[in-house]
Formats: sequence, structure tokens, C-alpha cells
Amino acid sequence: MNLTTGIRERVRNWMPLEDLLPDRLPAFVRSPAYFFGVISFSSLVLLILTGILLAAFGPQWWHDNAFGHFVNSLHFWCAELFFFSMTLHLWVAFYKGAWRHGRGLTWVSGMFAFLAAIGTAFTGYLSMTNFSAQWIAAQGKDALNSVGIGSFFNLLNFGQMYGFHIVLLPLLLVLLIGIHLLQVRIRGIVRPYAPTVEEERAREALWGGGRRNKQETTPATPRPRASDQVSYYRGLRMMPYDLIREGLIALVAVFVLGVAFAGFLSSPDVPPLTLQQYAQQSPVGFVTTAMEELSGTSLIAQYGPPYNQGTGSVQYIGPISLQQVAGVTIPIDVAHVYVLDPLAIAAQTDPQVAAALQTFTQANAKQQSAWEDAYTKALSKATGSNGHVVVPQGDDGPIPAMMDHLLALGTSGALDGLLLRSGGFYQNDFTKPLLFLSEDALPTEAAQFNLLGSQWGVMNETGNYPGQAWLWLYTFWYQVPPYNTSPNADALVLVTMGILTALLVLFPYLPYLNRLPYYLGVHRLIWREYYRDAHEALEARKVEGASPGPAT
Amino acid sequence: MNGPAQYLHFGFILISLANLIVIALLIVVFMLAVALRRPEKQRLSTIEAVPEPEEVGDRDLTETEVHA
Repeated sequence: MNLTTGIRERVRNWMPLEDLLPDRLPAFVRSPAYFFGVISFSSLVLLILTGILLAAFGPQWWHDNAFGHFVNSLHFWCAELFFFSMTLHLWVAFYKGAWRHGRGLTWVSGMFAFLAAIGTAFTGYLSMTNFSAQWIAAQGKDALNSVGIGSFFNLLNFGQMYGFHIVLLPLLLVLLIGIHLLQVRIRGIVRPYAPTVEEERAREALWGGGRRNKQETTPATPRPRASDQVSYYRGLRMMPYDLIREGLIALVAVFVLGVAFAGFLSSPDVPPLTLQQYAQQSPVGFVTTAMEELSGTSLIAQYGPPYNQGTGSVQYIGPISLQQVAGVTIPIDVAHVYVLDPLAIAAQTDPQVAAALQTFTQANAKQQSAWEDAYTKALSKATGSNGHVVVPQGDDGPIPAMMDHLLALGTSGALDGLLLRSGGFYQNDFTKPLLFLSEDALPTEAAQFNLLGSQWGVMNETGNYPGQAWLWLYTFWYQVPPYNTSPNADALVLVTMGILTALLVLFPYLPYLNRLPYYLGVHRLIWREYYRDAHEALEARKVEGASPGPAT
Repeated sequence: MNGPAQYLHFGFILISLANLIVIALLIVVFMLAVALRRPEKQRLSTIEAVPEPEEVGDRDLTETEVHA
């Protein structure tokens, strides 16, 4: 037995070239509703091309270079067009009941491609190296942490998200779209719903792939192969079609549209916040946050897994906390990371810092706490400007000197470098600086852009640009009870979305519910010529005296 | 475009004008795609003859066939 010959013949039978690249299609595809798939694919091609350019020149290129900014804008608008056309493609496929007649996997692969696209776009937004990226990371981390996967997909780790965005997820997306396209071409486009329910059920029984009653299946009427398009389209009017030309026209159209949007509207780019900026522009806020870290009263100090053993942000799904099950996987001792360790480095060259630090570390916990309380109270009356803070004197020991030097490290930019982690597999891990900024600086700035969770958060974009509108249902739940008042909102929203997503992916296999499009009736508009012709054919048979029942 | 964004507030719904335009466009384009067609004269001239059932096999296909 020649395996090569066997496989070749199987592949040839399974996917003949005439089906992969047909030059005739059923006439019912005349509706523009059939264009959205090819427009999505064209947008993806341009996304990949512009993405290759952006990746080749690095994430900073588009901020500093006019052509780079244009390429980024083209990438941005192609992403919007991609989701725009893909959403329409999804709507049309739904109303057509495109999973019928054994095409369940076509729908499932398309849905998985849609989900992969959402992940790819989300990591793209995280890779923009601007304020929007910082804020989406700071907000999104809570959702992933709440179900225990925040350390495996650390949104604050730029290197990991960038790697996911430019390599792993695009590969997955292209693979899934490839499978989806193969499914479409091998099985062909689904026929319109039959004019009567009985006929549609008969077709589903013949082509659906599900179990049939023994009475329905006899050796004389074997089940046709799902890929047998000649039989599947029997009796339908066909028309010449040039898929490649249509694809090229769509590619040019999307390119022209993308260039127009990029040229006239550019793309969002509010510069990122840095610790240096924060220290310079809001020295009192910077020192207040640092004091909260030192005294262990900050949000992050009490957060819980994956950063520490706190319980402040631990979420539950019923009695179970996946967050606690996953444990502390990104350990951050906030007092050391944000205050004591940076000062210890400064102390190597500055005797004053060394003395203040020594006084603090050698004091007992009660004394340290008393100094911290006194300084924190005095901070409420502090004034600050130009990177300096003036705090009323009190019994706060070495704390003022420590904070002055930490503020100096902040205003000089040294703290940004000290907190950036570059030792892991993925470089440029901004987890530590972003967690510090997420205490006060990021939310303050985000509120000005209407990006807070109560303002539909990650769905919005800075400036007047459209954001990730496709996340509307995800952000919707945060606005309504019981989610908007629950301490477990992130976990509950993720579980809700997981269930709804699973239902949508498996929609073809949900009994009764999968007939919903038939009763909604939009397909009668999409295929109105088909139904008109079917009606005329029936009328003609009546005139000829033939039975008005189903033809055979 | 990088200036202060315009937002619309309806009850608990707070939506940027840009996102609202995108969603409105989605609905409009969908309706147009369902309503529009290629020109009718092109349709009649491009449709080819229908393959007869005998030419493509004699499977038990219970359906209303559409002949030109």
C-alpha cells in the first residue's frame, strides 16, 4: 500500500481544486452581504503587512517618525475595518443559519478566529507604548488576576504582550482563519433555508451529519459527502464568479479606505506616564503613594495574589477563589521594592541616605509605625511644586529624609530604570512601575479621558478615536447590578462572558435555539430572489398541472 | 482628534461619539447590504444554465428546485 498515493487521493477527493477555487457560485450569493468575509480577509492581509513593518522598526519607531506614525495609523484603522467587517460577517452568517447542513465546524472555527482576533487586538492595544496601553493593562490585570491567570498572561509585562501580539496570536489567528476558509470552500456556502420547514428538515437530515432514523437511510440512498458540492447545489442557478478578482478589489478598497483614514485622522497617541513625570508634576501625590507602600496600607500592598498574601482584591466565584488557588506568583514586597531597595542603591553613594535608611531599618516595628503615622498625617498639610515637597515638621524620624531622596530618585528618572525588570524571557516588564502608578497617577489621568471602569473603561480610547467597541458586552456587565456592586465583579463578569461565549461558539449544536434565525426571517431579505424564483417555480408547476409539493 | 473626547450619556450608558458612530455605521451598512443588489440586467446575463438532476447524480434530494 502506497501511503503517499493514498493520502494524495484522499486529499484530492476531500478538497478538489474546483471547490477550493471555484469559477461558478450559486446565484444566491449576489447579495453584498456576502462581501464582508472577503473584506475581513483583505483587512487582515493589510494588518499583517503593516504589522511586519511596525515590528521590524520596533515599538518606539512610530512615536518618533512621521512615516512610522502613518504606518501605525494604517494598522490602527485596518484593525477597526477588520472588526467592522468581521462583525457584519458574523451577523450575516447568523441570520443565514450558516452552520446548517453539516457546517457546524465552519461556524465554530470562525468563532474561534473571532476570539483570537479579539485577543490579538487586545494585546495590540497593550503594545502601543502610550497612556492608553498603560491604562488598559492596569485595568485588565484585575480581571485576569481574579481567575488566577494574571501571572501567566501578565498584562503589565510589555515584553510578553508584545511577543504575543506580533508572533503567537497572529500565527494562531492566521491558522484559525485558514481552517475557516478551508471549511467554507470544501463544503461550499450554505444554501438558503428551504421554502418550507419540512423541506429544510429533509435537507438537514440529508446533509447535516447527525444521526438519522434507520428508515431514512437505505443502501439505495447513501448519505452524500459533505464536500460534494455538485450534489449540494443541484437545482440551483449558478453564475460565473471570480473569487480572486473580488479579493483583489476588496484589498485595494480596504487599502484606499485605510490610507484615507490614516492620512486624515491619524491615530491616538497620548504619551505614557512615567514615574519621573509623576514625581515632577505631583510630588505630594508621589510621596503619599510611596508612604502607603512603606507602611503597607496601599492598594497593591493589600491586593493579594499574584503579588502578595493580602486579601484586599481577592475575588471569589461562589465559595472558590481561583486567585488564591493560583497563589503568589509575582511576589512584590512593596515597602522594599518601591522605597527601601531604591534607597539602598542610592545609599551606596550618598552617606545621608545611608544614615536615614540605617536609622529606619534598625528601629523596631512600633517605632517605624509611629514615624510613618506622624509623617502621613503631616502629608495632608504638605505643599509641593517643581519636584519638591514641603511637609510640616513632626516626630517622624528619618522618614522626611528618606522621602526627599526617593522623590529625588523619582524626579531624576532613576526610579523608572530601577523598577523596570529586564531579566526574564520577556524584556521590558513594567509590572512594578505600573502597579505604583496604578495607585493614584493612572486613575487620575484616566478619569479625564473617560476611561474609568464606571465609564465603560477599556472599550473607550483616548481622544476622539473609536476604541475596542467589540468589547461592549464585556464592559456592559460592569454597569449593571449585581456586577456593579459586587466585590467579585471581575470574576463574575469573566464567568458570565465565558458562558455566553461558549453558547455562541456552540450555537449550531444547541437544539431548538439553532433554529432561531429561521424564525427571525432576515434570511428572506438576503435571499429574496431565491424565494421569488422558488415561488414562481411552484406556481409554474401548478399551471402545468403538476403536484405543487416538493420536487424530486 | 487627540483633543478632549465627546461623550454621550443616557442613563448608565456612557459612550464616546466615535464608538457610537462605529455602531451606527455597523447597523446602516448591514441594512444596506441586505437591501442592495447588483444590477438586475447583469444578473440575467450572467446566470448560466441549470444542471439537470440526471447530470449530477440521482440522490434522494427532497427540495424545491429553482429553475431559470
